[in-house]
Amino acid sequence: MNILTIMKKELLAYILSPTIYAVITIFMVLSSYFFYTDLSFYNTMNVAGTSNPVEGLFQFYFNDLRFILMLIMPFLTMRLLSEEKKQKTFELLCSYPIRDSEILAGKFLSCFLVYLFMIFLTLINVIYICLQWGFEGFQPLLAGYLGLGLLGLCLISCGLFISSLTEKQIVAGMGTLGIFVLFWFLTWNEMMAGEKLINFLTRLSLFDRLEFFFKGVIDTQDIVFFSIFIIIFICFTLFSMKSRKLEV
Amino acid sequence: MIEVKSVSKIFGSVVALNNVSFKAEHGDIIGLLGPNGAGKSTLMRILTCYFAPTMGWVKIDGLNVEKEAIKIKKKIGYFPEEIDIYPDMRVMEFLDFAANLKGINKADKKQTLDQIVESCGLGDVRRRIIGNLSKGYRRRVGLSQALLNDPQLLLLDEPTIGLDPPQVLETRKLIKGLTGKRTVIISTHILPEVTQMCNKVVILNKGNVILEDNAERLEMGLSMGMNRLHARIECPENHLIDILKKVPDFKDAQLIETINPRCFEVMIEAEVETDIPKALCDLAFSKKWVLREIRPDSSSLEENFMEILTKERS
Repeated sequence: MNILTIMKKELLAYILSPTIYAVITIFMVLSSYFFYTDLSFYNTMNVAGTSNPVEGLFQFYFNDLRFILMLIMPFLTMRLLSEEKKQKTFELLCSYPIRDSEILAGKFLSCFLVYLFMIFLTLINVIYICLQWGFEGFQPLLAGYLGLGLLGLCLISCGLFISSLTEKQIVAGMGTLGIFVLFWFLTWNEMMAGEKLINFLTRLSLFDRLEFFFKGVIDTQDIVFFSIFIIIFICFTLFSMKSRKLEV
Repeated sequence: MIEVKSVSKIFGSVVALNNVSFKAEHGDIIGLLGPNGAGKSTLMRILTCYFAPTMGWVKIDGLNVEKEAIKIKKKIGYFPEEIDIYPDMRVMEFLDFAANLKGINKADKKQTLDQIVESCGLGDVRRRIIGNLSKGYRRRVGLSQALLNDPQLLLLDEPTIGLDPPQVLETRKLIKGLTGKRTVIISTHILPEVTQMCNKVVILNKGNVILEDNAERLEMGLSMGMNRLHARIECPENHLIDILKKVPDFKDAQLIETINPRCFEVMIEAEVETDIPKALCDLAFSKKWVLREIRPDSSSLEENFMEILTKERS
């Protein structure tokens, strides 16, 4: 019940904030642009008409989506806890008979709902293609959307943690973006790192692991990795919230 | 109701509270007084279970703040210092949100909200956005959320800070109207606020309790071994001060003002245990004087407070 109350209040805060409209608009413009270019590329390359749209179109589209999400998610998570700290409402919330975990869960769910709404909007493109080309062979897309869902949970848990560390939204946003970019670039420096290290880093990279989902492959290892990632950052956030005991 | 026993709170090398102990009974209105950085807000935060003490323990209604935080939070109402309550929300949206979190059941919620809005004078602004309200109204919104669960313990941290004089008076009146059936702790560094609203005072300085006394006694200086009052006496004698000085119960007497040739304002000082009004009334009765006014010497409240702090520092 408390989780639901916090979630509703956070959703209201999102609706009342102009940031959400800007974020959704930018997301839709960029995702539609990338879809258009991916579709053009697919049509150009698929002259024979034998190519699989999942491999030839949606895999690229999902890859582009994860890039856009990496850039815009900090704008959704940055205010979640830092704003409460700045306004001193966190102290007020803590005086109500609720647990830190309930506050966290409410905020997490509200952000995830907004995320799902944005992802839901991308279905327009999928539905359009399905209607044009028929529904056959699109089941692997479900794996792609599962991957995007897991990516969203990871980005939110990480963003929430950074937001819990500071009362300045801009610092939380930049910090979150920095960490996302680090996870993105983790496997790029092949010349510097050895093959072994690159293999190890690839296992840690959020974004590289998604490629299997986008190909339609759901690997238990990947799901376990994402689950551990989410749990670790949620635990960090809870610890950070409780660390008010150390505040001066 | 509240028992604070040997509580210390240490943040790294900073000792925010040092071995603080005091008690409050049901119905007490306690003023936590002290300069900035004295540890008032830290103590408030411990009482609201925001964080636990490093040493010692606090019990509220027999419940330990460390072990039974959720149960305690159901009994308290808290209004933190300088809070900026969700500026994008409307007054009723916020109060509804707070009521849900405080566990007020659906059946009673509407009635409770209406009552609180009425008693805190928020009727005119109930649909307005909090961020657009004046500071006075925003403080009222903060106070109203603290009262939603009809708390047995009301904790108000600097409730009048940043308000203009009419708003200060209004807020004090509002708080005074809440007392009686609940224990109230008001943290402030404004001295008159304590004497006007509280019956007990706990003075903190650098994390230590340096005085715990009755607000009236503090105002009269009794807390520091001073006992003074002002009296307006109508009498024919020219040597009023000499007569007063000769009274064995009085330590000193000074003429403050000659109102007219037959009426004088004097200040009388005596030992703490002396009942000055009684001794003065006895004297006036025997000399057939008319006592126009007797009042405690409250003009020196700030001096008394400073004297306590200075004594502590030395």
